[in-house]
Amino acid sequence: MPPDEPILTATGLRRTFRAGLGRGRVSAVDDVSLSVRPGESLGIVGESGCGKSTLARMLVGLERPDAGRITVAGQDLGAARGTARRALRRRIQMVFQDPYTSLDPRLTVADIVGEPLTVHRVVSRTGRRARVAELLDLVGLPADVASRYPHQFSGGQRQRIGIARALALEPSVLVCDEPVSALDMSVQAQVVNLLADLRDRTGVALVFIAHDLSVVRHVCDRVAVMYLGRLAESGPTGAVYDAPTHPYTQALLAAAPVIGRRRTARPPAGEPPSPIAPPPGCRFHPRCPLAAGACDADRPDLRTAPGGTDAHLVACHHAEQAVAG
Amino acid sequence: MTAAPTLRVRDLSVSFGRDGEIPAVVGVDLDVHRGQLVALLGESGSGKSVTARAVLGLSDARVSAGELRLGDLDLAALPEARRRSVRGSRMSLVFQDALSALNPVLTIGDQLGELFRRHRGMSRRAARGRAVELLRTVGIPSPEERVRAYPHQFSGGMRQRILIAMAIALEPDLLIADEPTTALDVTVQAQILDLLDRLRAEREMAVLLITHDLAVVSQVADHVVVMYAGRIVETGPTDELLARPAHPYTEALLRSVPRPDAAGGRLYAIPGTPPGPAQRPAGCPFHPRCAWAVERCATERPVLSTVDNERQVACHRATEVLDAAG
Repeated sequence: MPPDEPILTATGLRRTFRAGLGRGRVSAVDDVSLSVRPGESLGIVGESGCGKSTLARMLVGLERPDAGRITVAGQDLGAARGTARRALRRRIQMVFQDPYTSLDPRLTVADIVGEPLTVHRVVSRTGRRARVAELLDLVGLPADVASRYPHQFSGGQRQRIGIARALALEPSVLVCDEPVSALDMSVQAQVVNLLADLRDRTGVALVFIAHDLSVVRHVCDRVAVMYLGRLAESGPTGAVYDAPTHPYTQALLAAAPVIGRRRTARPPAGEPPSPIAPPPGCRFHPRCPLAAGACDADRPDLRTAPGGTDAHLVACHHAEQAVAG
Repeated sequence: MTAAPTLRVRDLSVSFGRDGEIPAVVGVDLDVHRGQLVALLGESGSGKSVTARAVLGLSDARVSAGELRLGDLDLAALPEARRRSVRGSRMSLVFQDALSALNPVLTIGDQLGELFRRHRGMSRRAARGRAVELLRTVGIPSPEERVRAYPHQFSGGMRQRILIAMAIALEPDLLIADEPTTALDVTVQAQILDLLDRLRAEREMAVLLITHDLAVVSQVADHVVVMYAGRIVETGPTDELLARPAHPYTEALLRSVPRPDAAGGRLYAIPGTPPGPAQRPAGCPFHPRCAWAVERCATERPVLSTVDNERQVACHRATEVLDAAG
């Protein structure tokens, strides 16, 4: 496979949930497409309820999409069965947000990190011990922690254990759902650096989901902005951050606090509406300063951003106006 | 500022454990003036929330203070019954978790109205009127109808506004906000910070903001107090302190935040993790993680001393750190 071919693609993913008796369905993810190449990092940003975690769970197979297609190294995950499916699933692994609840408190570190090896019958018992030591070393933990239990570690160390577990099967893609947001601020940088190092050293691709815009900017080559289940904008990180073309991206960037900058722009009015009854047309239109004409009826499709390259896409009828300010 | 501060704390210590053997907060001094927003910045376990609760008299641990005054009132000498009436009327608290801070079985109007009925002896009808007024002040749309709603019918941001409404209802001199925006999205966080800032200006309230977020501090605080392992390590006016940190901890924290102009490179990472209250190192509590540490730091704890007009730092090498910051 040539290195420019995406290792993971998602096309037209859609997922709804029942919202309780008679309350209709929550549209969590609606027609989202994305792709990641080997060694690349893709950031997904958005506010709570925008569907970014549901998207992550679909990518790793914890959630089945209602519609859409996921391919791993060119092979359709939905069409694969049995061992073929397991082999594909192995290549996408997940790092969870909360290192306190995502590790079994009754298992030792060796059991936690080695469990994927046992489940997928990758190595023998003795080989397993060596592989666990190797993985612990990879994430910067000494080998003697293998016999200890999760409660003996700090949050940052637990997150390293979670990352070691995710790396056990030598995945091609690591899906990280808010990997540093539960950590103390003086520890976040350690884990961010570790993930970037692992990408550079092992060539694993990262899907980095976060609400912290500055971390995503730091780590990711490309970024996708989600709003209420849909992609609002996506493109190379520098282009999206420096020249956002969607009014929502602009509002999000303006609202994010930055050290040494007193806030100037007004935050957008209102809050993300309920995904149970998302607004028709553009889902951002009720909060959008540029909403006019067709915004409340016609759903904007992703198109090349004005003034941007082919890789920079935006879903807004008035992107030209948004760019002009 | 020469006027007497709204809140004046001297040598506040709080310890936990049966014999008070676990010191959570040691020797904290704090001043918050009228109309001023002071941020208490620290990581989990730094003692920032414990400090806030001790000021409010909500702590069940051992609290000792050289001085604890709200305006002309000596809080430390106040009997519990008086202190309870001061709490809520002259000083109040906004919690982080708005859903668990509100009573789920009472309407918003009843919860807000209770304040006026209890502290001000108002009638039910008058209290309801004031509740509607307050909801409008904090930016809840159509307050006349929403006053009859229950907490679960509001979004997280709206609930936080309601908590703020309750906290300012009796026009307190001091508002303590404990991580009020941590659970919120950035656009909503910006709205809540705007609201706090506006209320402080309109009502000339003193605000003590407890937070772990440097960027939030940078945006709204006049003055910052940085805590680490139960002690104040640095304090000063926000802009100066963030532009030229004098304590290695503050400096390291600032360096570890991703910056747009340095995207893609390695972040500066502070080694190790913050110590818990039971295992604080001897000497300077930051020395095992400090890039500036010298031999002396492991044995001799630096005291908080003035380095610049309004800057205080607890570090043996403060002047060198300050010079290095330019």
